[in-house]
Amino acid sequence: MQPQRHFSATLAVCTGMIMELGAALTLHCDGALWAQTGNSVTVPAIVMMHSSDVTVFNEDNYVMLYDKPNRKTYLYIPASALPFAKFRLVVEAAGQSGDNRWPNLALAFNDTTKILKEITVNSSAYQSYDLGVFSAPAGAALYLIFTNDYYNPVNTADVNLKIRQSIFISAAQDTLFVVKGQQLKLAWNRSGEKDVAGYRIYQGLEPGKYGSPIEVSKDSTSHLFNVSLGFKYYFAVAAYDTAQNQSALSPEIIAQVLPPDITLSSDFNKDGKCDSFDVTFFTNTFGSTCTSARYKRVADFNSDCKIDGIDQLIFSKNCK
Amino acid sequence: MNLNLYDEFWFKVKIQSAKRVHGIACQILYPPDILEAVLDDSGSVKVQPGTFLSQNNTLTMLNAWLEDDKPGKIIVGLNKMGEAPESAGAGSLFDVLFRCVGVGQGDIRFSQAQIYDTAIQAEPSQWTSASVQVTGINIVSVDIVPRSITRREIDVTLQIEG
Repeated sequence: MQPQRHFSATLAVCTGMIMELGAALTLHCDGALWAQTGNSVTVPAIVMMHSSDVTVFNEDNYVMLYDKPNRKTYLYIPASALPFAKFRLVVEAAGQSGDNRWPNLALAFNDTTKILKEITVNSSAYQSYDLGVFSAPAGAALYLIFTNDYYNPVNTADVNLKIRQSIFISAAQDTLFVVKGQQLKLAWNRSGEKDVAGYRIYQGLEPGKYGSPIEVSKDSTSHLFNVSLGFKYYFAVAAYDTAQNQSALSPEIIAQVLPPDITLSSDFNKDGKCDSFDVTFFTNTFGSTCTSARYKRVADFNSDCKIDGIDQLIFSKNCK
Repeated sequence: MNLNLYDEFWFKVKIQSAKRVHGIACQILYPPDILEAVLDDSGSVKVQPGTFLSQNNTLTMLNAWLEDDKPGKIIVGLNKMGEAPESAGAGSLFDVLFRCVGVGQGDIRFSQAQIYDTAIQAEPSQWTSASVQVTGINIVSVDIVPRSITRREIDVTLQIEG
């Protein structure tokens, strides 16, 4: 078993009775580290800029790329129009095949000869093709290129590429996921290695500081956590094998659970006034974090798991 | 600042060039192997307020506690109570009492330090740190504390930008 494993972890807030649906949250650990925040921008192909030998079908909302020998056709987005510096790109495309050939769609920045990713669009129906995660170089335009033109004059078999839209999904490392609810689900992709015995899930209230891991079976792909409103949780997952060798931890996933909808009040004992009792109550919690017995949730006005000078400012402002 | 083992000193935090100060929030980080924050009977860090925020008899609130009661990090909150006018100019904010408990050199520095106006909006500020050098024989454990303890002062000035 190699120390570095390729698997990914996903943090999701479930739907239904327990949790409220949040953004689609994914964090991949396969070299290109990124987290999907759910923020996405869809760019219709008909508004993208393009090379010659392209037909824009405005009414049908797609662009047809038909290549010519020694000349690539492409759609492109100038750097100034790229919605995110780091993004996952999903292209909705369809292929027109001929002689059992399908069109290839490639991605490049600035130089159309320097292909970063190339896929085959192997369906005549529109499908979403995930090209992966990319960081746009500064000032670089993004190109979607049709790379393998084919035309058979004998039977007029023609290979073309149709693109309907591109979806840019914001991707950034160390994204803080803001979630609602009192339970959240941490999920991961299974490791591809055969000797995996299970997974260890690490959880903590501070970055990189975890308690004893929770071990789950090799068949598990998720784990449900009870969480407290207003707290920030840090998660990481590792795989281990039958010889108890453990993989490196996945990149840390941070979940900020939104606080309950509380009315900011410095009247802790609800006697209608903020007096010496409330000052003493607040003072006795000061300097504590949510791992401490001195910590009192009601005094942590900004719900950051610590009672400090900012809470004191809020307390004082509301102490009337 | 050079100090002797068992010396106590006030770490005095001052402010200058301030425009709109309603309160401050900060952490003070110190080397616990060299210094000890002196505590009072309630368990909070021994501090005394300065005069900068209490001008015109304004009531202030000052709290300083070790984070989770562990040495090394003091959480400080100091602000005016109620809707008092903001303070401006220069003056003393607060003092913290330290005791030298180990031989060596270290820094007392600020972390997550902010100045706030009445709307609890942070004002830009620059905070400086202080170095202490404690000399003497490093005793691993002591049963008897020396009778004569000298108290000295160390000044730190806070420069407001802009």
